[in-house]
Amino acid sequence: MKRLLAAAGTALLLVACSSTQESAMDVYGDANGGWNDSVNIMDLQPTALTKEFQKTGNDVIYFSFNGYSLDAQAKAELTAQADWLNANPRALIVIEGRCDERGTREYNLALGERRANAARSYLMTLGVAANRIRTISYGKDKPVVLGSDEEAWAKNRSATTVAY
Amino acid sequence: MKKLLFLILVILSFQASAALKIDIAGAKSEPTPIAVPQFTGNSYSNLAQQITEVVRADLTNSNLFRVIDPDAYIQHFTSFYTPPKFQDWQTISAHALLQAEVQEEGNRIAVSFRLWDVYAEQSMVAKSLNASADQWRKVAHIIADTIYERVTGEKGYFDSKIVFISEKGPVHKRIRRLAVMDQDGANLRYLTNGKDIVMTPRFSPNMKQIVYMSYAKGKPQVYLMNIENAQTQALGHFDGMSFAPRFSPKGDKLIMSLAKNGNSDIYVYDLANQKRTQLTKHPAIDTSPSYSPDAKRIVFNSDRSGKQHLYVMDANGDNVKRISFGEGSYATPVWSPRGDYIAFTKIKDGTFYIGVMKPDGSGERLLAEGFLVEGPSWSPNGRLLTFWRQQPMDKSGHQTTKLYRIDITGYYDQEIPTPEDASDPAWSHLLH
Repeated sequence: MKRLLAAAGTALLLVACSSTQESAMDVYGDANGGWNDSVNIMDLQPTALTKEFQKTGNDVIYFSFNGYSLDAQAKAELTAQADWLNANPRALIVIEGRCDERGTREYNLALGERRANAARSYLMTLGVAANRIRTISYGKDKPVVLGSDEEAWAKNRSATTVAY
Repeated sequence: MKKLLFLILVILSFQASAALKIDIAGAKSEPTPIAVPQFTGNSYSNLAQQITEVVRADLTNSNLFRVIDPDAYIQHFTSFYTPPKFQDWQTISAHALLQAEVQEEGNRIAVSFRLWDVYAEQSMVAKSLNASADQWRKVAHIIADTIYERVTGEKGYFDSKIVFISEKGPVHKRIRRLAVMDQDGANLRYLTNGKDIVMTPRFSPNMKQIVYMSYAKGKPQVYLMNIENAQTQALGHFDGMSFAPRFSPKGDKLIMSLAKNGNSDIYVYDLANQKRTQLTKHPAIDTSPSYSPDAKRIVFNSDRSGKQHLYVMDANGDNVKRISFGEGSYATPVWSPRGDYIAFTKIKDGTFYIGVMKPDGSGERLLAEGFLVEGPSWSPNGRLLTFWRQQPMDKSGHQTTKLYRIDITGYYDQEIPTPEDASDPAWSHLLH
């Protein structure tokens, strides 16, 4: 009986998956299990996986002022991200690179890109396929934490991984 | 007596031009007192009055002239052909006098003007302009440019435009639109609708196109816009993020950065054959390239020393040489149209500055400062810089961001009024 219920539960879950398009692969992916490159990152809608991944609390890594190297904490977060991605092979990710506002616009675009790519490269060494990862730099122009103080700046020197 | 006065004037005018030279090196000169009485003519609308006001505003805003209060004028002209009573103008200490008229005929205007040297009692320059009446502001700017050039010996900058990013809303939900306006803030026009994040617009030398960066297709990349019809076109199909674009002085090429796999280098893109050539090849960030006016060299920003500094290289990428050696970091270099200076943003001990240095890195001077000042752009004559200044953000994400301009002497740090917040100003060439 228990087993039957469990099976029914799985079936329900599958129905839920297909009806709410829980997997980004179905919506944004290509035949090779990676991103379809023509997808516009700005138009992406969150999927059930987006929330699920966010709940792990391992989605953001932080950098030092003007830095882009990964400290032990960042590496631990990225390892947890890779574990989750390996367990959820239908998930695709976008890594958003950001900077604090204490730099110039053009340089910070480059720095945000450098940060997002530091995260991407590390995830790839942990077995995440390159075609599942896209990166985008917002430079200093789309901060997640508001304010002009050290605390806000430290939190905006970041790379945020968003799953779809 | 007349001869003597003329002699004095010659000396005065020599002093004036000498003072301007000193000006560039950092001294402040007394503004020249000028009388600008209301233009006469058959104008049945208030065009004559409006043109007069714009000429006065241009001259005043240049800080090189002081327009004497019209209430003090003794002589009142009723015709362009009435000879000035120079004594009357000398009495109120005017050095120069503008006499002008506007004749309206249908939707055309004919404007005649003459600049008098009040002490020499001589005409300095006289011109007539014909234009469609809706071009009255341009006519006023051309008059002001003519006066500026005659008195200072340098080209003016009044008949020019500024392209910039008009911004509104809290920073995390900021709406950014490409906008263009006259240098004095008039004739504002929005070129994009605010749907996409746009940044760093710059004019083509022929004023037909704007190059800028947009997130329109979900990937930050460089676009070209035709100003006439606002049609846009993504540039090339670069693998990676393209940004920090600028036209070459002739407008045949673009230089920009291209970021791939975490590394930004500088590329030149030939608009005729659409060929792209890599100019820097370094694991550091190389960005914000700007050509010298003769197109032989490029100044750019790199952190290859471990800190952001300014570098100059040949146009083909050879002979890279660091030119900034001061404390702090340097960014956004831009070569003056006169070739004599490179303007930059400097960040030192948590403060931002706008500064200039010579192309060999000597003679560094800081002109403006603030919590954040950034992105200088030269006036067409290389005498002023426009830049943007941002105030600290509050916890709801509101942050005042405005355009400013400053004389390269370091005096007259003035806001350029815009209806919304504004950033990334880029000045055009002189339009006439």
